[in-house]
Amino acid sequence: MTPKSKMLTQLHRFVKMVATTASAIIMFFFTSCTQEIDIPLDSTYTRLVVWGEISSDTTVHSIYLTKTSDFFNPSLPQGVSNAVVSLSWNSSSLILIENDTVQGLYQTPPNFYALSNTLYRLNISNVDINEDGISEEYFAESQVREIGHIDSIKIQFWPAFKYVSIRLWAKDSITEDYYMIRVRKNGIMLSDSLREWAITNDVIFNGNNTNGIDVYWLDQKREDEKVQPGDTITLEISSIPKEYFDFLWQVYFASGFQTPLFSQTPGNVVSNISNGAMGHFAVIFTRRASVVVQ
Amino acid sequence: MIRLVALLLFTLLSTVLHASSENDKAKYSLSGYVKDAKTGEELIGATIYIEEIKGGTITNVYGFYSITLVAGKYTVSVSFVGYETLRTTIELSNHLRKNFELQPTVKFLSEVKITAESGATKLKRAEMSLAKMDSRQIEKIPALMGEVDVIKALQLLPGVTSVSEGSSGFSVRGGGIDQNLILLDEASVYNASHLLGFFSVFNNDAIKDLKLYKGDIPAEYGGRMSSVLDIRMKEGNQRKISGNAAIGTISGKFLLEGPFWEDNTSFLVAGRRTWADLFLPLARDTSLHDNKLFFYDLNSKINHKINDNNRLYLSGYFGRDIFRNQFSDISFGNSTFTSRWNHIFNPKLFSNLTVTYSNYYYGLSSTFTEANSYLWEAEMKNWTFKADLGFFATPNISLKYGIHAIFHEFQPGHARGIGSQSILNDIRIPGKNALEAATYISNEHKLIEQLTLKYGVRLSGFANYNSDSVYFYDSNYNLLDIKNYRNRFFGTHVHFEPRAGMVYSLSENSSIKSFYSRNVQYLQMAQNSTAGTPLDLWFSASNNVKPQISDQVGLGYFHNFWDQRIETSVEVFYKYMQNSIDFKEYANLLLNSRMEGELRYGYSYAYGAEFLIKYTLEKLSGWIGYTYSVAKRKIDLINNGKKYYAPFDKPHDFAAVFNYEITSRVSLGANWVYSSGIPVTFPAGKAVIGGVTIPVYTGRNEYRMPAYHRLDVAITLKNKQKPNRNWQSEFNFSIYNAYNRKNAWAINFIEDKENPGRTKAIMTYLFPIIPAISYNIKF
Repeated sequence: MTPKSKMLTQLHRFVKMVATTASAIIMFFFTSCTQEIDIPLDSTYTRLVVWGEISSDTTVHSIYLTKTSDFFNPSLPQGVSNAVVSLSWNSSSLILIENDTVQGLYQTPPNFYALSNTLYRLNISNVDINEDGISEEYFAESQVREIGHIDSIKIQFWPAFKYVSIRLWAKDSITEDYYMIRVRKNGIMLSDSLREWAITNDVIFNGNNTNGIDVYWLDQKREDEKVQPGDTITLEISSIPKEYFDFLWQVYFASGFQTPLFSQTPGNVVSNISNGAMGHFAVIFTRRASVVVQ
Repeated sequence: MIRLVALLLFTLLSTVLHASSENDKAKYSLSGYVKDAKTGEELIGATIYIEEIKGGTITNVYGFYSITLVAGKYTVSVSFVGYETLRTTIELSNHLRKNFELQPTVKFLSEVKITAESGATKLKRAEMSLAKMDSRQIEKIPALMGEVDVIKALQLLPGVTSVSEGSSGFSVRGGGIDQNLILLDEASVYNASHLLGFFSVFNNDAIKDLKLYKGDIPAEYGGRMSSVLDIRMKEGNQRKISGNAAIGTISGKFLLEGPFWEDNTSFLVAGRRTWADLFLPLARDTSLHDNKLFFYDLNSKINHKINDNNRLYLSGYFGRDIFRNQFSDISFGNSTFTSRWNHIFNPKLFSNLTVTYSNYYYGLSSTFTEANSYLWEAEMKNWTFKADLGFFATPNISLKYGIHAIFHEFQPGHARGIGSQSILNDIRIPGKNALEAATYISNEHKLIEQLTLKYGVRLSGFANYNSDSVYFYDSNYNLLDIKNYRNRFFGTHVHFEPRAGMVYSLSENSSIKSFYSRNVQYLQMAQNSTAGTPLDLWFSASNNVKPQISDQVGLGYFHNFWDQRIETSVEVFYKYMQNSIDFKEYANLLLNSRMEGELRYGYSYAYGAEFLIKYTLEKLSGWIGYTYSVAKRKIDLINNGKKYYAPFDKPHDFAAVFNYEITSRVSLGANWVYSSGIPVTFPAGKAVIGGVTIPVYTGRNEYRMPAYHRLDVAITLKNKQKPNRNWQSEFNFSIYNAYNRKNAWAINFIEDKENPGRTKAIMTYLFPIIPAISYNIKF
């Protein structure tokens, strides 16, 4: 019932343990059931939704512009075309080009990469979300710190739980860091939904060696995550800005299962886009390590 | 304010001088204790009625009474619900110490009554918004899984609501869970729930009496804005060894009590443990065999009568919830200890000296892998010293005064790794110490036969002490500075809390009452979920956090019918609360040394009307209650600064409780409840980012959960009475949610897997129809 998530900080892991125990109690002592019900919801005005990362990888980077819709609207989000989307940093700037096939997807050239410790500004113009005939402008800023190299990773099987964990050996810096972790199997991204990304801060292991801590779990009951001998597993660890960490953290709660026991009062996810738009623009710095499953 | 205090002191001084002058007119005191004749247990709230003066008094929380009368011959009636009324004549020519012993009635039905006082006496007392229960009343009420629960019984009263389905957390007149001061033998209980709130920590078998003050809070209580729940444990049978044991659907329990030294020293021990996990070794999944999942309670008490003027009481509670498996261990719970010394200086002056200790602890640990093995602990505790005196000056004047001091210690969190390979640092959130002190004086003054006034004031103060890291925030909640206050006081607050009330008797069967009460709350819970969790810790007023202040007024009309068998009341109230606290969206309350920066402040208010009909007929008894109320908040930066409904606002709340004695061996109990759904925040729009639907909200608590209603029934079958049988037993069969109402516990919006793109609302409900059985034996 609870959406699967791998987005755990160490602190959240503590709370998660209690919440899981709570679920066990409810299942153990009580009988909980679900049923679909009709809830009439209000409408709200349309907002611009901005979503994009630019990373230290040399590749095509994308900024995706869409619109909000009524909650029960079954249509896929509508992309926002013909916007002027640009990046600027130091004394440089770049205009992103809208993808020919995906409406609202604006992309950099394939030779683009982001620099660490550099402030990037995203500017968006020539959009009229409120359809009043006057173009609106939006912007966001982000910068990220570089992180050290990964020493190694290992795969550990947990047959009793039908999971495989990825263990990490690395050294955390003494600075205040925020990490995002994603995994590829044979080059294919397994963490294909934002809720599948693991995030953590280093509050409780700041400056330490990671000593092979389990940083990501692969569900062996899921066909796409099943690990077999010969598979190459790649761990991507990205340094992310605090604002992006907070955003992902809030997305996790906002899109998760709500109960009176462990859920906060729902609230809007805080965006770093100006002018009331939703979403986030972030610069990230990524390191990788791979292991071939024996 | 100074003028008000001066006026009050002058009035009190006048009354005392007046009392002294009256003493010169050959008046004497009749005083003593009222006890259960079978057990020797003192009775709280028993009525002592002097027919010649058409008035009287009631016993205090220790069963003591005192009344001063002109020398002469009097007819005294002593009564208490569930006991035969004792009528006797006394000759008062000097101070007279007289203890009364009441015989329990054979007729069990009359015990099922919400108040332990006679209806007529209650009508004339200058107290309102007060409910009383005893354990025998509570055990008659059908309960979830047959587990008799004090707090769930209280939730059936007007003005008291459950915070979520099956929860033992309660809201009084729209207030938060943490606005209720819960006292067990005068020791505060920080977290009164087991199993994540589904059961309360109070073992009904060990409870003698409870009072819930919903607004008209006497001056001797302080520290919370909404209510005081004062629970007193039994003292232990003074006459013989007795006890009871019960086995129910989810738990087993026992109680043993008796005299060490008849009529002088008695003891009580009670225990309870859930036992469902004992079946885990039978589970097919062998990994579950060694798991533990249970809670337990232990209550104990010893009291000793040193002589007629001195008594000692020692009592304690210890409870834990334990969840343990191969890799993790969670435990949490309360412990309390109380020592009290009652001393009677003279027939008019009664004192009680109390020292208590309260503690709440939780610990989480995991050894899943060496690298992330950890232990996380948090703890709160307080030591309380109280000196309370009661001066029964004349039949018309009774003073109460005293001093209280509480030393608080908070350890909000200490997490660290276990073993050499753990990568976790030692994280300790700076602890806090604080001193809370108060002095109070109050007087209940019968001015004329029809009119009694009650007035008093509490002067309370709070100061934090000795902290290395004190954070200061600006008006935009940004961190300004960190200061060190080692061995110094800081964040000091002082407040006057005036309290006043009156009763005017319109006739023998009706009265009107009113009150005003200011209450200041210096502690609050760091909780931003609805129902609360074991991880919720308390934090104190400080340099950043102002104490919350509540001003409440109430007006009530009370009318009894049919020879006091039917009591009716209507009460209206308005409550305004300053410095109300809520948490910013997505606040981090755990292991966060800067938690005070996550708080937002404002004001809140609640108003409503409560209707109650209580009846004690020949075979049928119970009550019907209805409340209409509104509770709202306005908090800085939350809901765009607009007012919103408080989390526990329920405009309509109805409860009907019945008990019907079919025969002397068979009784039927039922209760039906209906309430509006609590406010809830639902989305109006959505954004899709990274494959995830993110809701867009337009306001907080703009929607409501579906209305809640439920019927519970129970039937109790007693064994046959036999002449030489010295034990009794009974079976209790109960059905919770008898017509299988699907009451929403949570509502979520999820993607429809069969129809991609479609989002649907899913309701989770916890308790369908749940039968339960228990067997109780008493000896």
